[in-house]
Amino acid sequence: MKQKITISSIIGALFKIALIVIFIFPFYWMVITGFKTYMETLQMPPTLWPAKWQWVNLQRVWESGPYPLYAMNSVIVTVTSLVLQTAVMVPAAYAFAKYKFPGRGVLFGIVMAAFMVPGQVTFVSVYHMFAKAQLLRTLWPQILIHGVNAFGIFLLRQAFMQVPDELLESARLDNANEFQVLTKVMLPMGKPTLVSILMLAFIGIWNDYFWPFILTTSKEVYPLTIGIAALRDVEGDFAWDIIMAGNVILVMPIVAVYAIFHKRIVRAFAYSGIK
Amino acid sequence: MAHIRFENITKKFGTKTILDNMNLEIEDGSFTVMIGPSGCGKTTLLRIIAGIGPQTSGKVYLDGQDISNTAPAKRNVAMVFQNYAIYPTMTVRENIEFGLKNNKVPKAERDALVKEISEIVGIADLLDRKPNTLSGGQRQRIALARAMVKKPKVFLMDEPLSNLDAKLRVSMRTELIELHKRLKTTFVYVTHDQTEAMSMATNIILMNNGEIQQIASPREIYTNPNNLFTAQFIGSPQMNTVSFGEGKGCYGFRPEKVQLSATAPDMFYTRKGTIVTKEMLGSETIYQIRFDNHSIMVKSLDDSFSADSEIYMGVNEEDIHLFDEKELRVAPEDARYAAMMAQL
Repeated sequence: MKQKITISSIIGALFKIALIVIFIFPFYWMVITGFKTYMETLQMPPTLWPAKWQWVNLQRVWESGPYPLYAMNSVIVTVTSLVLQTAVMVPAAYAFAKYKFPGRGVLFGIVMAAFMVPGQVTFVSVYHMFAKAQLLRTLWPQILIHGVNAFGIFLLRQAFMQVPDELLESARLDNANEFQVLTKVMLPMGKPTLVSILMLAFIGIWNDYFWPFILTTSKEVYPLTIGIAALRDVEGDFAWDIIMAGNVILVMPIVAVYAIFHKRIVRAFAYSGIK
Repeated sequence: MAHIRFENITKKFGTKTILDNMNLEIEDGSFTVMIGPSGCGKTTLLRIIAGIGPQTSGKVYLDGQDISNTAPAKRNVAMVFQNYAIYPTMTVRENIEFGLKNNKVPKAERDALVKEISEIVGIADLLDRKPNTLSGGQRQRIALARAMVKKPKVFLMDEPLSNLDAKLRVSMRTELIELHKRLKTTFVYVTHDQTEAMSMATNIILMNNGEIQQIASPREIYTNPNNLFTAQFIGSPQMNTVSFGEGKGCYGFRPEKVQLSATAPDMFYTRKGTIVTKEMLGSETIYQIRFDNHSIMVKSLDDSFSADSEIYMGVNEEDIHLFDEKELRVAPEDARYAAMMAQL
């Protein structure tokens, strides 16, 4: 049957297009601005496509400061945090989902509270703590602040709760130890959820500006986000071509990772329980 | 080959006692079916044997060896779950050999075992498939193969056929009987379906409210029920019972033991009644008959009687079962037997 074109379907389509434009346009604007010349960024009316793509802008960003170091810091912080998160999250979610132990409710309540309290409430005492431990000139504060993912524990617990108990019992009858039950039975079933949790965490940590801003006091430990923001001080407030080129560099890894994993992420969100 | 013995087994869930001080033996090489209504404790017993739902107190012996605190995997038992519990992320082969791998069985031996077992249960061509591409019957076979490949002393099965359609269930029943004959291993099978119990078991354990009602062969439990519960639980339609009056016990007879006739028969027990409903089942007909404010079921090969007509029923003396006020059987040897029969 052919779909009828009605006024409401046209309005619906226009609304969707408008939404897409609203979401895509800032991203698009960032990319094209990053590839314009300085003069072109100031042009009125603005151009919607660079006259000539200025790939050299990326190079200028990279050479305008210790950007390779910032990038390396970002990679170390992000990867270490994700490893730490996984190491904490997986056993915790398994225990909360499948074990009955005294204090489970209280402990889980603490986890829930942890992700409901915003960092802006605690950052002064967190800063104080790291300062006292004399860690501010290392990458540790940035890693540790992201080392536990309370929301991830919650989500993964929900996924693990969907796994029927009989599967675990069957595995135990099959002489699997608890570690094997976790890695051979639970984790493969929770994989789509775990991948999307880590993906979201990756974006959050990689793009994080707030915590590094609070928890870094020296250039050697700056991540890319702080470095890119610093471009404004180096290049001036109106060097939009350079600032946006810096942002392009910043988001490239996220786009790459999303391109690799997007099927899994979509599947995780569409997951309707394990039968 | 395995003989299972429960000694003073008690199982509590919180404050609720499911099994209280139970003693029970399961014969070596038997096909023992535990049957009873939901919540009677039959699955609980099975899980105690497997070690995945340990007893609160008491001891379990396997071949005389105390396994009360032995880890499930070290008990040499295998279990088939009601929902099959197949690992969905593994292929059929990986499912079957998971236990072998964990037991560090060498690869060559593993492959030979998987091949042998998968041919027996008829899934040899499915080994590289994922479970979600398979039908219920095929999954059932994988679950069986996974249990068999470990060559256990005891097979535990928790309502393994209840998720299959009626036709498949009947054919799997026959296959399980054949499998038991072939393996000569102890089977402990839980079901609430009396047809399964009657058709497969060499030994039935009938339970109710955490208590064993009777342990006997299908034939014995059918013809000589210990008590009223057993008499009514086994058999379909259930045994007809007629009370002798408040606190005086009752008598009963099976629907297929009633002879219907248009004229009064010369039998030990005769009554005249009216046919209320008639169900033609093909080979037999089930009549509901009302007499003296009682309603009984009669299973007959004769479908010539019509609803609303008057009819005579007759039952032979040896087909009448008597039960006392505690719902226990009053056997012919019992001193009370003659007096109770005289009341009929």
